[in-house]
Order: sequence, then C-alpha cells, then structure tokens
Amino acid sequence: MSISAREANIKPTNPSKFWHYWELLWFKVYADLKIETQITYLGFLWWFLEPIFFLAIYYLVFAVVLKTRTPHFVEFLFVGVVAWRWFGPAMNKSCRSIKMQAKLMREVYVAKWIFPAAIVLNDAFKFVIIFSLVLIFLAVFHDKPTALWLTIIPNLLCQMLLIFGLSFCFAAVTPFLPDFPLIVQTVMFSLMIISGVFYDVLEAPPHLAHLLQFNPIADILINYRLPLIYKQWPQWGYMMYSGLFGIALNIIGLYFMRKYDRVFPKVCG
Amino acid sequence: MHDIIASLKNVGVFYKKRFSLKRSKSNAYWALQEVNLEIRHGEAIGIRGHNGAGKSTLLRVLAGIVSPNKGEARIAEGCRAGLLTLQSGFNPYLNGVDNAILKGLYMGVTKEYIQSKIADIIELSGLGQKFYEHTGTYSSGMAARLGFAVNYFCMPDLLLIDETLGVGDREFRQKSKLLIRELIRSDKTVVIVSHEDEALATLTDKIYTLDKGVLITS
Repeated sequence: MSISAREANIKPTNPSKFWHYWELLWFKVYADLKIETQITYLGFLWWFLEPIFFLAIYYLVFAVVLKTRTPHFVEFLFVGVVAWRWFGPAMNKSCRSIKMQAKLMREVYVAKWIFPAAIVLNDAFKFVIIFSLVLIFLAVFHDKPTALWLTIIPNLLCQMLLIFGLSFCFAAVTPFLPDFPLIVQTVMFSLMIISGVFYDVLEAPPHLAHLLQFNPIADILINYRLPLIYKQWPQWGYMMYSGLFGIALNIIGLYFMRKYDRVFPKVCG
Repeated sequence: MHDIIASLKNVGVFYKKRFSLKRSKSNAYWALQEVNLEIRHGEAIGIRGHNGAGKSTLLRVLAGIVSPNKGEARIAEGCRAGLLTLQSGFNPYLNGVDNAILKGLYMGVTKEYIQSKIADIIELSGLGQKFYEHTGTYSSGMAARLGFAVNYFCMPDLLLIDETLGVGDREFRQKSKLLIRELIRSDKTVVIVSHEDEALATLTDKIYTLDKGVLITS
C-alpha cells in the first residue's frame, strides 16, 4: 500500500451544512438523470419522445376521434395534461423516496429531505422540456406569444412550491404507513378529475366552480390557461392562494422531515 | 487526556418489529439499554458481542444515523462520524468517478475535494482505466476496493468499523485489514466491532462487550 494513513488524515474542507446539502442535492439530480439515460437504448431521447407520444394520443382521441367542438380544446387539453403530469408522477415517486434509500440511510447520515427534493427537481427538469414543447406548439398553432405569457412564471413557482410541499409531506408519512402510496395513488386520480385537466372548472355553475377552486391545483391549471390560451390576466388572488397553500405544505412537510430525520432509518429497516 | 468527541449517556434504542395498529409491548424490543460510553480523541475502542447483540445499532447511534429513544447521544461539534461501508451506495449505471463523488458527498466532504483526490482513489483501488467504466461491470472485489478507497480519502473524524462484514477478495481483505490496523495505530478515533477477540485485544485501548443491548466493560 503506497499511501499511508497519515496522508489520509488531511481533513477535507468542511463546508457549511446548507452548501453541503445544496451540492449533494444537485449532484444527486444530475446523477439520477444520467442514470435514466443509461438504462434505456434511446436514453435522453425519451424525455422528448414520451411526452410527444402521449400528447399525440390525447390529440387523436379528442380532436380526431371524438371531434370535440369546444374552441381551442386541444390547446386547453395540452396545457392541462402537461401541467398535471408534473404533479401526478412526482407525488407517487416522492411517497417512496425515503423508503427506497433504506440501505443508504442505515450506513450514513443524510438529511432526508434531500430524497424527495431530488425527485421533484428531476421531474421539474423533464417538465421544463415538455412544457417548452407545448409553448412552441401554442406559438405555432395557436397565437403569437404575448407579454401576458410572462405571468406563467409566478404560476410556475406556485406549482413548484405545491409539489415540494406535498412531496415532503408524503415522503414523511410513507415510512410509517406502508399503505400510504396506494392511498395517494387513488387520491391523485380523484384530484386529477376535480382539478379540471379535461374540462374547464370556470364553466361549472358559479357556486360549484368556487368550491372546486379551493383545490390549489385547479387554480394552477386555470392560471396557465388564462394567459396562454385566452389572452387574459391570471386570477391573481387564486394564484396567491395556491402559493400560500404551497408554503404551508412546505412548512408542515419540512417540520416532519426534521422531526423524524433520525427515526426514518429505524422504521425503514 | 484528550477531548471527548462522542458520549452516550443512558442510551436506549428500541425497534418496532412491524407496523401495527394495536399498541402492544411485545411489538417493540430494546436493541440498546442504558448504554454509557465516552470516546476520546485518538482512542481505539473495540466492541464484541454475538449477532443481534446491538453492535450495529450502537454504531448507528454513534454515527448520528439513529437517535436514541432514551438518554442522550452527543457528538462534538464539527466532528464527522461515519461507518466504514464498502460495497454499498454505488449505482451500477454510473462510472467510478460519479459514484465516488456521490459517495463522498454522502459522507460529508465537498465535491471539489473528491475531484482533487480522483488520482489517489484510482491508485489506492488499483482500478486503472476500469475506474471510468460503469460500476455495474465491476466484480464484487473491485467494487469493494473502490468503496474502500473512497472511504479512505473521505475518512470521518470518528471512524466506525464493522469488521464482521466480509469485504472483497482475500488479498484485498488482507490489505484493508492492514490499513485498518494502521489507522487505529495512528491518530484516528476508531470504534471497531469484531468477532476476533485476539485482534481487538492487540489493537484497541478498551474493549467492551455488548450482550442483549447492555454494554459491559471487559
């Protein structure tokens, strides 16, 4: 052995905790994306092909087979489906995110919020790709982009907050309740139905629409569609509501993450 | 005498056997009970005990992985405590570099630091160009060598070793044993769990025996 123990004694720089986790989080996101490109033949092409396939199927069913008459229905559908797809799969994966790392957790201390956060960011990256495709589609087939389009940026942030918050909450519950992912799956399906992915919540009778808008996901979808498709201002009040909802979920989720940080390795055994 | 870098006071840890809606006492068992231990800088401590005596749990409490249900576990501020783990944590679809960085980050060192040690990791692991291939193509011995090399350069301040775990091929086991010995003799603070009483006796300053979760001074 050519390297002595003394040499290894040089202490690696010890960064502040926050920066360390920041670095770990981003490297994990990078590594996970890289792994995804390695396990299939077509690699990163799937990030484009998969959304194009499913949008094509929706197009076929609603525009070609059912010949929906509602104006701009295809655009309406594309925006809804794509925005939803950032929620649905991320939730189901986040549920299992801590449990999946059981082996690692029992060997080294890692702040557990890293695991769901990495999943959300991984999906965010793929969402950006397919959302850009939809924006290009809208610019080409619908109407030229206007300054109103910029209002989707705060809406994106609200959606991001909601997804982070829900992911932290879900990830914290699953280690204690193995049945939870199944419950989430069912709940997410119902949520998809009531969030107005396939229909316009605002067209429901006013009292019902108001009720449906308590669901922040419905507001997110509405606030994408208003500026992008109908050239209208988003509903700022509801946007703020969804953002605050997201912040509250983050506080709750991170509280439990912190509380059970050193308990998860035991219950996931 | 040196500073205390880790201390356990009346530490108890229990595990629940499985999740159950019913609350019953038989569903939980204490893996550690009333454990008191002080570890000073530079000390080498040996722990022996039968399988299931609570050795792994003790190491996990010291590593800060698991918090005790009773009592108090303290680790000095700024002290990184970590288990020496060799084969795990590698993703077969990433090459040696990415795996080394990821593992190093998990162990609490910076990416920059690990990148600066890549050449040394290659040398110590003896992997050569293989280092740049997916670890999925490695033999278990190679993976263990990579694990050992990464551990070696990301060495925590309080090193926790579970020697009861067999690692790599015989030649490498011999090599790593020598290195562990050398580390123990150096300034490192080490807690080592082993079946080999003789080895523990020659290497460590103090030996404890764990029996059904209770720590006894030998």
